[in-house]
Amino acid sequence: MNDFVYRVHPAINIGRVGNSEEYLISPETPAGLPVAGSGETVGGLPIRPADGQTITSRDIRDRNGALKRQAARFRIYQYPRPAGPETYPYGGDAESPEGGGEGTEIVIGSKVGDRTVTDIVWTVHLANKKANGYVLENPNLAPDEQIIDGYDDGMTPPLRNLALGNDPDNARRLRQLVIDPGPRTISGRAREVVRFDRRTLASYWNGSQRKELPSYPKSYPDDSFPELYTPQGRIDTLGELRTDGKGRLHAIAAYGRACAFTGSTPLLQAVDNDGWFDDTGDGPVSAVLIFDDGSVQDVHGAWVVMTDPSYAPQTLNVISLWDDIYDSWVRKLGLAPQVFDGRFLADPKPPKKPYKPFFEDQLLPIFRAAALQRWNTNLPKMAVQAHDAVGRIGAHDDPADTILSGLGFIRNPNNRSEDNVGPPLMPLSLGDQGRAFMSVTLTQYFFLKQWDRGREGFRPGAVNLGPGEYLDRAVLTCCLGGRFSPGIDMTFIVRQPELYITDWRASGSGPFRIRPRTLDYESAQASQPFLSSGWIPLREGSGEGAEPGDTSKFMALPWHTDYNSCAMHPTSPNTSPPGQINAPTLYWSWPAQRPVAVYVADEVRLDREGGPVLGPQRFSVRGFGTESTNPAVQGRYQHYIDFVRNWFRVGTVIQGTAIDPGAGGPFPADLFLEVESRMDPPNPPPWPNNQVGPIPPYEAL
Amino acid sequence: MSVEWNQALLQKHLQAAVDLELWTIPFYMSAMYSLKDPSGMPYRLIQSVVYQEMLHVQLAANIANAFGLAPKINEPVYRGTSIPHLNFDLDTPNPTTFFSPYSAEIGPLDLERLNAFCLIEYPEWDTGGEPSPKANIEEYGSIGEFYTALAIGANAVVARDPDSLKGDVHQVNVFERFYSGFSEASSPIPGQPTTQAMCITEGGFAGLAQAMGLLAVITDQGEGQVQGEQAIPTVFQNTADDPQPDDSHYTKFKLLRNARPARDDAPRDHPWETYPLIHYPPDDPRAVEQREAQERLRHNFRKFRQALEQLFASGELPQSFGAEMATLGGNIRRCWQLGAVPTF
Repeated sequence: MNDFVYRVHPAINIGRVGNSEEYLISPETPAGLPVAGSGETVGGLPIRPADGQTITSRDIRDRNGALKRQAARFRIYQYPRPAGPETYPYGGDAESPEGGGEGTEIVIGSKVGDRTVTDIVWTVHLANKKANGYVLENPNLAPDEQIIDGYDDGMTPPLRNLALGNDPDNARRLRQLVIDPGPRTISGRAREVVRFDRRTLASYWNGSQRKELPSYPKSYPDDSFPELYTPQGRIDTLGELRTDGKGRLHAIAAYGRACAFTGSTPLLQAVDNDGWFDDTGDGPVSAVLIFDDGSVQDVHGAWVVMTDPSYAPQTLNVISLWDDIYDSWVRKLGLAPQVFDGRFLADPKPPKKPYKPFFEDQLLPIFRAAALQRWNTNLPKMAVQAHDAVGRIGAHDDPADTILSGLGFIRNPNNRSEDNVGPPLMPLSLGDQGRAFMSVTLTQYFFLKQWDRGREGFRPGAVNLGPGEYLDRAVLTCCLGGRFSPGIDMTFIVRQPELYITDWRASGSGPFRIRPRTLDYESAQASQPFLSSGWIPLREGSGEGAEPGDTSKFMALPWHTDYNSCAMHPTSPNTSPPGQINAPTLYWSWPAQRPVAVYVADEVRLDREGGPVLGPQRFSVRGFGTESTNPAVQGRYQHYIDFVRNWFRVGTVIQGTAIDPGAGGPFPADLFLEVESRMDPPNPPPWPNNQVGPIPPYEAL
Repeated sequence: MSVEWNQALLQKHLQAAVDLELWTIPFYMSAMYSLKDPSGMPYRLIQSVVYQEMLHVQLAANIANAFGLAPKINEPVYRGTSIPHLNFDLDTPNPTTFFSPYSAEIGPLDLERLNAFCLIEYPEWDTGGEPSPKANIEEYGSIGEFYTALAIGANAVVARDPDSLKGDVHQVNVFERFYSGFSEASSPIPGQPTTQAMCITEGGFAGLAQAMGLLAVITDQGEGQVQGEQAIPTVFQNTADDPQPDDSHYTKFKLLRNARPARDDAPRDHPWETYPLIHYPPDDPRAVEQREAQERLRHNFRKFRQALEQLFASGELPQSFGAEMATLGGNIRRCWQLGAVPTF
């Protein structure tokens, strides 16, 4: 029996669209949090492929001003096969909950015993099934229900594009509505570019060799719809693959295009636009190691998601995608019995021990995230002061001496009626569909409760993750959680245990991996669509795994409309129960991922002592076409189509230390400023924006 | 002996106004934080009143500064049944005959506190007479009479010397965006909300008109209503985060008093459930913890009063003000969680 197991990390990784041919590597450090060796510069910055360093402001765009795409970088790690049931973190249990820090990266040239790795063959299959998916704004749901409820009891929401039939597995409908370039393989060290376009042959690893699939039934929008409205060009690819000098995989997103197949279909909806495609996608990533003795080693695979740009990469979400996924794994998949064994271990009976969260990993992110929201929102000064005080909470502070003493300002997720109570309960962001306001996850709240017990309730250090485990967490920490309506990177399905490889201990896959459906590529025929309608939650058979395109199909179509409209909202379209009068006040949707109000680096001035003085706040999305006298629709384009045309002009909010002299920097580390915007100014007023008029529907052009 | 209005007497009244408004905040907040469920209507209604009392402190201080007084933030005293500046014996009928028993001591939300809330906010029915100035503030029969006298005094002082009122003196403006209607109504340009509606920006008679507007906000929202039990005029209503923006403080508290369960031992998870008060022997470690929490609150409240005083003496928000204010809420809640009464 092999003494080792091999895994691709991160288990889930994110690529991001851009309109440049050039690309960056998406962040591999956690947004907003300290990073060893980086001085004051916190995590979340993308990485330059050329030298592996994190970017500065001049790297965001290419020389023509186009926004660079982002690649999801994947690596392979080797773990000693555990003697007993595997724990998480690897080697972590009640006795040593910090984990063992295991995992060795394997690259081309690595020695494994007396063998040498001579090649790594990667297979990736991206697809976009959004147009064949189900609507997100499900008319069958009650106001307090969530999107997942639409899949309960054997139901599904209505399909998108019902005009093309009501059977999601109808071959004609699949061919018309699913963008499927087929799988692609890549190997070696930085020697080729493999595109998910029509011209590049589909190929896969068949267990013993790379095999081409000349008859694979690829499908792109213009195969079925010769008349397309293409404001930014045709969708002729879903991205590309490269490898670096060590054989690591770079899976690079496409160009952020959207097109409409009826030529004049207006964009009127925030999340469900029939007649439209975009070029995001997702799919499985698998790999094999080839050794010098001709032997082959399978590697447990991963999943890549291609999605929106990240316009504030270092702004940490109070509830990140990691927090949501970790919470689900803790409570539903037995990830960490030292934390949760059916109930949270606050005061368990001996011999079990109360779980003491690690300050740096399990508490600090909540505090830091709260403080960082000010850079993307128009919080008033007094609220900024309070948020700053939360951000200053340290491991050595007595919780009773801090601003969060007693957790008086934290919305309690165990009391669902608090979902409808606004400030001063925090977070001050809108919640999931069906919930007016957002709450921390149950696991986060448990950690906070333990912390609030005093110094004996938590430990000051950090979890000792292995490097692969660190990547799993870091990349997802840079993404949005908490408000999946539907979200930006991934959505509500990440909370469903049936999405994942649940036998992660026995299979050796390790946690957080989406279960890929076994695909018989040998059976692919040119005359038949290869992919089906695929995975949906809460179904018998859901555990058979996901096909390419099965996670992104639950996102907005196109992504642009959702991004544009999710600036500030009343609690509607979330619930606004009787007696709840927050409706006329606006709150933020996703401020950490979708900046609303920003400070512009170019407008920072120096005071007499040489200290920086911020200029006025600006809307992140601003300029011609965004103006409105109604606060409810300010800071966004009044016509969705204008965001499709201008999304790449939006600036990026980064830390002052990463701002180059050409953009006015560097600035102190505690400033997060917008750079590289191609938009024009008006100014947002400070929150609370209220007394708003009725929100008009978007007008067709 | 008859007393005549002058700047010093007016300033004395303005200091009393600040004292009175401030007094209500720890009193109401403590009762609010004794409730376990922040989503229940009792909690949320009291919270909406607390927010408006904070606004009233700001407005009273703005008027005081305009008349040359940077107000002191004195330590409030919560003892027996002594509600500042209220002598219920001067009212007919005496409201304590129906809002009884009541207590002016810090405590959980119970009948004694709710009765006190109603007494504080009890509206004055206008008798048509003009109150004469009183050197001893305690001699006013009600808060309504006190504020009426204050308004008369302000007019008298400005009439004698318009320069006694100056604009833009250490004005504080942190709540305006919660009152969009007032911002619009106060604007010199129709349809264009002013950003200075809750400040006195002018001197002399123009400033006096602004001061009268700020006094009207205080009296129409809460203490000192002189028109009986009335809805808050639209322009003075909170447009951002009040569950019942048209209801005055008295209406809200009376509603709570009438809705309150007959027994204090409200069932678990009920919106009226309060943290239990627990008495430990003095040397019990839990009693020590209680005392530490109380001392922490006293310490932070002292710091906060200093910061507030600094704010009204300068018009500039001290760097730590927002944090210090928010911390008090956690400190109060912490006391209740440990079974101790908050102390200020």
